[in-house]
Amino acid sequence: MRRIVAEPRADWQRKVEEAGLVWHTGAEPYWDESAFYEFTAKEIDVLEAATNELEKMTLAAAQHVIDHRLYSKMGIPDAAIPLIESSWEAEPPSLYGRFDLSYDGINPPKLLEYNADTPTSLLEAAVVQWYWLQDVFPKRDQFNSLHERLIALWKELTPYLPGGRIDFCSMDDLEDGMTVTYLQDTAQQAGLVASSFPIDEIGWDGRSFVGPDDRPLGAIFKLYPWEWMVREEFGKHLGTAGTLWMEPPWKMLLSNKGILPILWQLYPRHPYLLEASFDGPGLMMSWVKKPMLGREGANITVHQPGKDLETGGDYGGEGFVYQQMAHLKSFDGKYPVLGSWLIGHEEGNAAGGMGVREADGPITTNTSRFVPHVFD
Amino acid sequence: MKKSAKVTITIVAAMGLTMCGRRRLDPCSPGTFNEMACQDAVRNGGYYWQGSWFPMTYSYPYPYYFDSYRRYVSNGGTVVSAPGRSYGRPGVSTPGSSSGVERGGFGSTGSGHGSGSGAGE
Repeated sequence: MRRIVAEPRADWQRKVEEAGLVWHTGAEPYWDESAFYEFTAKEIDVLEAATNELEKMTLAAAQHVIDHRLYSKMGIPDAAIPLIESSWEAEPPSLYGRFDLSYDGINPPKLLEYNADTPTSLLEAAVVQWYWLQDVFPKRDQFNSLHERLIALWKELTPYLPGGRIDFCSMDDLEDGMTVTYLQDTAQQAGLVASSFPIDEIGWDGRSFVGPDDRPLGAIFKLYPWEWMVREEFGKHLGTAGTLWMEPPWKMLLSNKGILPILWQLYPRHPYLLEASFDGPGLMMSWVKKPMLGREGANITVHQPGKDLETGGDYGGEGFVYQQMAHLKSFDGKYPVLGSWLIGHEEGNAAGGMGVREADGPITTNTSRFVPHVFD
Repeated sequence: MKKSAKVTITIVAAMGLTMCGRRRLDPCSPGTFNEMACQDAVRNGGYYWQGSWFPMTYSYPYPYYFDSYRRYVSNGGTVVSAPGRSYGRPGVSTPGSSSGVERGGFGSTGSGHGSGSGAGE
C-alpha cells in the first residue's frame, strides 16, 4: 500500500462534475486526485475477505442484541424496538453499507465503525474514481464492482418492490441528493420505475405515507437516519403504515456505535476488531470516545497519554462507547481510512469495492478528502 | 469480481446541474448560493421555495455564508443558483396541502443540524 503523488487531470473539475460530483470543492478540496493509493492484489484480497467476515460478524451481533434485548444499552428508544424486531424477522430488502477500516498494508484491517444505515461517498467510489482510472490508468485495476452490483441487486429485489417501483428521498442537500439520484439511476437501469424527492415532502394521508403527488409509497429508500426518523413527527406512523423502507429499521442496530463493544464481547481479540467498551477505557492506554449515535467525526475524544483531542458537535445524548485507538499509519503525513462497501448481504460475497478518505489528522470528518486508488 | 466492466450513468450527470428544478436549493449553501435569498433566509429563519415555507436553522450571521460561498468559488466550485422567483413569498401562503395530506413530518432533525450538512456519513 503506497501513496503516490500525481498530476491532476487538466480540467478535472469539469470531468468530475460530469460524473455528478458537483460538491468536489468546499472550503477545502474534497475530491483530490493530486495523489492516489496503490495496493497489491494480495492486499485487496485481504480487504475483501475482511469485509465479508465483518459482514457475517455484524449480522451475528445484531441477532445477539435482539436475543438479549440490549436496546437500552445502545440508547435505542422503546418505540423503535417493534420496528427493529419485525423488520429483522421479515428480512426485508437491504441495499448497502460501508465499513470504515484502518489499514496499513501490513497488519490486518481493523474496523473503526460501520455506516450501515446512511453511508455516502458512494458516487465517488462507484463512478467518479472509476472514470479517473479509465482516464489515467486504463490498463490498471480498481477494487470496484459497485455499479454493476447495485444494478444486479435491484434486479434481484424487484419481486419484493410493490409495482416494480422504488422511490428515493433524502435531505435537500446536494451530496445526499446526488447520492440518491445515483441510486435512482442504478434502479432505473435495472428496470425499476423510480423517482426522488426531499424527505420533508413525504406526506401522511391518515392511512399511508404518500409522495409529493399524494401517491401511496409502496417502497422507498431513505438516506436519512432511522434514529432521527423514529423521533420525528411522522415516527408514530411507522409501525402502522405498510411502506417498505430501505434501509430497513434493523440497520439501527448496526449503525449504532454500541455495536462495537458488542462485537468485541462476541469476538474478543479478533484480528479485525479493536477493543471496545460501554463502561470506560479500562486498561486501554490510547482510546477514542465516540458518541453512540455520532456522525462524521463529531463529539469524538481521542486520548493518548499526555494529550486529549476533542471535536465539537451536538451528539452524545444517548451515551458513548470507548474504542482502542487504531494506529493509523501516516502516508506522507496523511491518514487514510478505507471505506469498504457491502452490496447486499450474500454470505461471503458482499464486498463490492472501496473508497479512500484521507485526513491531515487521525479523525476522519466530513471534510476529509476522497482520493482514488488502483491495484495491480 | 473486483473490477467494474462498464459504468454507464444515464441520469446522474444530467441531474447534477439541473436537479435544482426538482429539489429545493438552500440559498445559503455554497453550491446553491443566492445572495438576496440567503440574506432573507438568515434574517427570517427560513425561506420560501416554490411557494412553500421551509424553516431552517442558520447558526451564523449572513457574512459567514457569504464568505463560505466566496471560498468555494475561488477554489473552483460550481454554483447552481435557482432563479430569485423560486424564493418568492407567495400571495397566499400554502404550507401543507389542500388534500388533507400532512407534510413535513420527516426531516426536521436534519434541518436542525445546519445548512448543507446532509444526513449521510
